[in-house]
Amino acid sequence: MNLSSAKYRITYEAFSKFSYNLNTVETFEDLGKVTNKHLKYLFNFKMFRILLVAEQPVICYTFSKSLGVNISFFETILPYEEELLIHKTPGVLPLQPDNLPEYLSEKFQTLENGKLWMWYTTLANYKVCFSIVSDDSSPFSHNDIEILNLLVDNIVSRYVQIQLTEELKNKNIKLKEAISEIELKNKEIEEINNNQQNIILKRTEELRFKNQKLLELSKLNAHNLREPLSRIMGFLEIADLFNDVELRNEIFPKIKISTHQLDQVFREVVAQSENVAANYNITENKHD
Amino acid sequence: MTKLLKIMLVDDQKMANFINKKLIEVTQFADEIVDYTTPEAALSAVKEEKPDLIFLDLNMPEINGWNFLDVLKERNDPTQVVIVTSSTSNIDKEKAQNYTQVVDFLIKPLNKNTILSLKNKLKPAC
Repeated sequence: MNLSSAKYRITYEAFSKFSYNLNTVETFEDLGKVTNKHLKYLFNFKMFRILLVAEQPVICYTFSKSLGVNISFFETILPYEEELLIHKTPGVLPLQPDNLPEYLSEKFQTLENGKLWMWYTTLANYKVCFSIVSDDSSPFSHNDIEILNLLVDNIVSRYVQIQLTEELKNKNIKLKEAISEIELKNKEIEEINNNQQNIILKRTEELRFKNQKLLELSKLNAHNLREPLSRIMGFLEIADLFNDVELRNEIFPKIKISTHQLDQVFREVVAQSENVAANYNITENKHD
Repeated sequence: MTKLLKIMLVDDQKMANFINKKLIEVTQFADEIVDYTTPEAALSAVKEEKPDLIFLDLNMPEINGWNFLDVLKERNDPTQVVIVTSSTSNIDKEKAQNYTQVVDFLIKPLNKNTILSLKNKLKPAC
């Protein structure tokens, strides 16, 4: 086995370990940490940087041996990345001072023969700029590009999965909030309904009771009033069976008694109606 | 000769009995009339008097017309009854249909025509 194929095998073993660990990652931070831990086994670099852009930059991971990983959701796009986004042309350039983010520029002042490698691709609706800074102490070679592409693929697809899971979580939270809001409203509606039901039952019971009282009163009136009245009418029915003297002496006094009784019953009925009205709160013009 | 008809009047108002008695006389509906102002006394006398027909008021103190009918029913006394009431309530009229011995339901005041109609109605039976 020659040296190159041995290195190849070791690299792929390292990559499969990385890949395995990446599957357990659930946050953007852990994605950075796990990548940072495995990166040095995959290829040589001073800095490795991957920037995902949608309308705006959505995330940027910058890895360096001296500072570890820097994760930023609002990263400033570097000048060479601006160029990449426009022209999409990969390249290798001698390292310029403005090729580094501010937080790294001091650390990288003493690079020997520093080089900037940069690539552009699109993955899962994101524009992806990825770049490597290398020097003579950590030389990057064309042979590493294949494993680099695999790495970028893996990072981006994991990022997309985490992003979707987060969205799903947020949607679930909103859904739960909506459900509890609906439950609350349902409870309120139910309470209002129950309350209405009770009021209706109470009012119905009151009305039934009042109706009962009114019916009793009306039955009493029907009979008590008509009894003396029907007698008076009865005397008038038989009046022509009597002569004047009999009428005057016998029938008229009876009619007189009956009319007095009728008057008496009238007074009693009025008094009783008022009494019932007062007792059962039945008043004129009152609608309840 | 037709069978002699005897009528018993039961009304707590003496004047009501007076009026009805006069109407029965003038229409020659009955041959004999007995009148009672207390339902208790009337009930005790029914067996002895053996009336063919009872004119019964409904609204009376102590024993009302319905109680009176219930006593007759208990005794299995089949004497025919005409309810004569000053009540115009339909409830009473409907209730009267539960008693088979009630042959008519009349509302006061009676007059010659109501008595004559009743006479015609009962002719085949009496």
